[in-house]
Amino acid sequence: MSEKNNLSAIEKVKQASDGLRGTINEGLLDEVTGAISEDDQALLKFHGMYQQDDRDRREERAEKKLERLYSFMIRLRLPGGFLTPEQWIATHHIAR
Amino acid sequence: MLTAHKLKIIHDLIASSSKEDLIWLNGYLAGIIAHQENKDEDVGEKNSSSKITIAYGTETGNSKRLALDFAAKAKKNGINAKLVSLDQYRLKDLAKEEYFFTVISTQGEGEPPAAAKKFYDHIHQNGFKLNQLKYGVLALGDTAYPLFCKAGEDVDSQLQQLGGERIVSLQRCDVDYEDEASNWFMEVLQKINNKESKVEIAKSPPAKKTTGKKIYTGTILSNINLNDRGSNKQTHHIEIAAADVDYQPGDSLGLVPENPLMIVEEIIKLTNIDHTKSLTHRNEEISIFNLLKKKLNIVYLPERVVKKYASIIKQEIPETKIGLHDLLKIYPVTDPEQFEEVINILELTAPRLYSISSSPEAHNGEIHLTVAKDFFTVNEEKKYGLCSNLLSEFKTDENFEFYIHKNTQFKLPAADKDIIMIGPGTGIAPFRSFLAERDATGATGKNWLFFGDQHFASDFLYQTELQNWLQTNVLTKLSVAFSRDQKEKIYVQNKMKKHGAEFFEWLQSGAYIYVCGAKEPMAVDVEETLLSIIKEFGNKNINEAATYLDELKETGRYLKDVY
Repeated sequence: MSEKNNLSAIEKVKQASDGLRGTINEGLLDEVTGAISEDDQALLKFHGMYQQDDRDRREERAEKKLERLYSFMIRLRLPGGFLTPEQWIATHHIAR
Repeated sequence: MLTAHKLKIIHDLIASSSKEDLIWLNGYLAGIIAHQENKDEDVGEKNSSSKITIAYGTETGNSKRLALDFAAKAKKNGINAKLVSLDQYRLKDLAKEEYFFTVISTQGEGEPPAAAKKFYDHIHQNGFKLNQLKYGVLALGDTAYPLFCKAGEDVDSQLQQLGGERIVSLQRCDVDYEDEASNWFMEVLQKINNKESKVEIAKSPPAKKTTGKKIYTGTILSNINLNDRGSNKQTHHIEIAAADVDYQPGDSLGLVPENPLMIVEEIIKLTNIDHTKSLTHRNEEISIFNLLKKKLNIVYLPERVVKKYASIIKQEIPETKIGLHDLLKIYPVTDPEQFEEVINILELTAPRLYSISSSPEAHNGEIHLTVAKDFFTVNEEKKYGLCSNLLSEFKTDENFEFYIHKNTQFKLPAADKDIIMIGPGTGIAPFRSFLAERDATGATGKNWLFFGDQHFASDFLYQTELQNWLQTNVLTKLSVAFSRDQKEKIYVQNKMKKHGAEFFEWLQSGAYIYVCGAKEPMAVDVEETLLSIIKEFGNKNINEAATYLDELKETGRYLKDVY
């Protein structure tokens, strides 16, 4: 067991996160930005998700005074690579 | 006329008087006569005349200012003047009025200001008589528009139709109205007091000739499309370098768009006209080319002009809005002379106004505009708005001329007052100016912006600037609505309702409300929502809510800039 003051930054975030919840829900409700906070981004990874943005669009978006084009990626664990039709449709709806 | 005896006295007096004596006698007698007239009047009717009503219909504050001025001058001359805004005037009082003077401006297509609409409609009803009314109308307008002073003209002729007696003729004033307005006041006051002698008008500081519209030249610094790929819209943020422009947040930039060169050349070809020939147009010599390129409206002719064209070429033309070049193609003129006749019936290009989105404090030496490229369909063809198209095509380093159209009503309040701004789409323009100004001047009042458009990802105008202001707390609250991001439409008014309780709290603490953007349906829906918020969270019934809103209007806490 590490001492409290030897915890790395990410461990501190995890500790304060109420079971990895953080403020992810609240962040998703923020209508002014498509991103979530830095800490939440770190927590999200533990849920198999990741926040990214379209790098090729960064410069143009900034010129247009628009924030980066954020999107989220979800890593799916597919044992044997199998997906039932229902699972496929569900994934489709999430991606939309 | 004099008896022989008196005549002899006069002749002797004249014979023995020097020129100076005679001049003195002249004045002396005039004074005596005037004095006697006054005496007669005083003896005659004790409460004569001297109670008048001055009503004004104002859009951007000019008519109101003139009316105030007029009322002050009237009072100085012992005339009791009641000053009232036409939107608050009790219409049934009109039948009882004796002296009624109107100062009214003309908007857009010859219309009265929104504030005067109720009065204007009322007097066009023709169901009543105003036989005891004596009136006069002072009309404000801009000769750059074809229906110059039309609202004033309508009021003047309607009041006559209803039986009123016109005691001073209609005075039409252009942008430079100070002198003509002053003269009109004097004439009215003279007529009322029935004095031949000079009416005392407090000498205003020596003729400060208003320059009218000051024309500035701007150079394009940058021009970008704020909407992202895939958007249905194209909104340009244009930054212009211009030195020493006198404007305040809330004012607009006005410009007269030139016509596309291609179209002008086509017209010259079709009519065989000598485009270098000079014609006299409104007191100046100008080549036909320049008339067609810079001055005259040729791209979307209104029906009244098409009608006149039809009578020149003596052919029937169906009612339609059409461009001059199309008209010339389908119904050609017989010769260049006939085309010159056509030139005479064309109207001037009306200036277009754009709310300024920069702040004088924050963006020194620059003016920014937020311009939506306007498209519409005519006969299944996609057409562009002349001016918005021009602006969207402006390249860096291009120059153009413009003027500032001041909006005296739509202004920031004192620095410690809270403001709620509702500005979907390009309606956000003046609010960017407000926020930048409040940021630069360190104003302490709270700021709440409601913005809406179609899609979050591509239409969130000035998103990063707004996010920055949220971070630095210049923007206290930002509520957004993207109508097409979900199945059901969500607009700014839905967000207002959602935050109704807090919204009402802000109102109760003295917040000012500003609405900018589309007149219909947006501003109408927003106002309805305002009323329902006041009703629900103020625990009022419909009438009380309406009264609350009226009070906001009266105290200048509910302002609109809608188009």
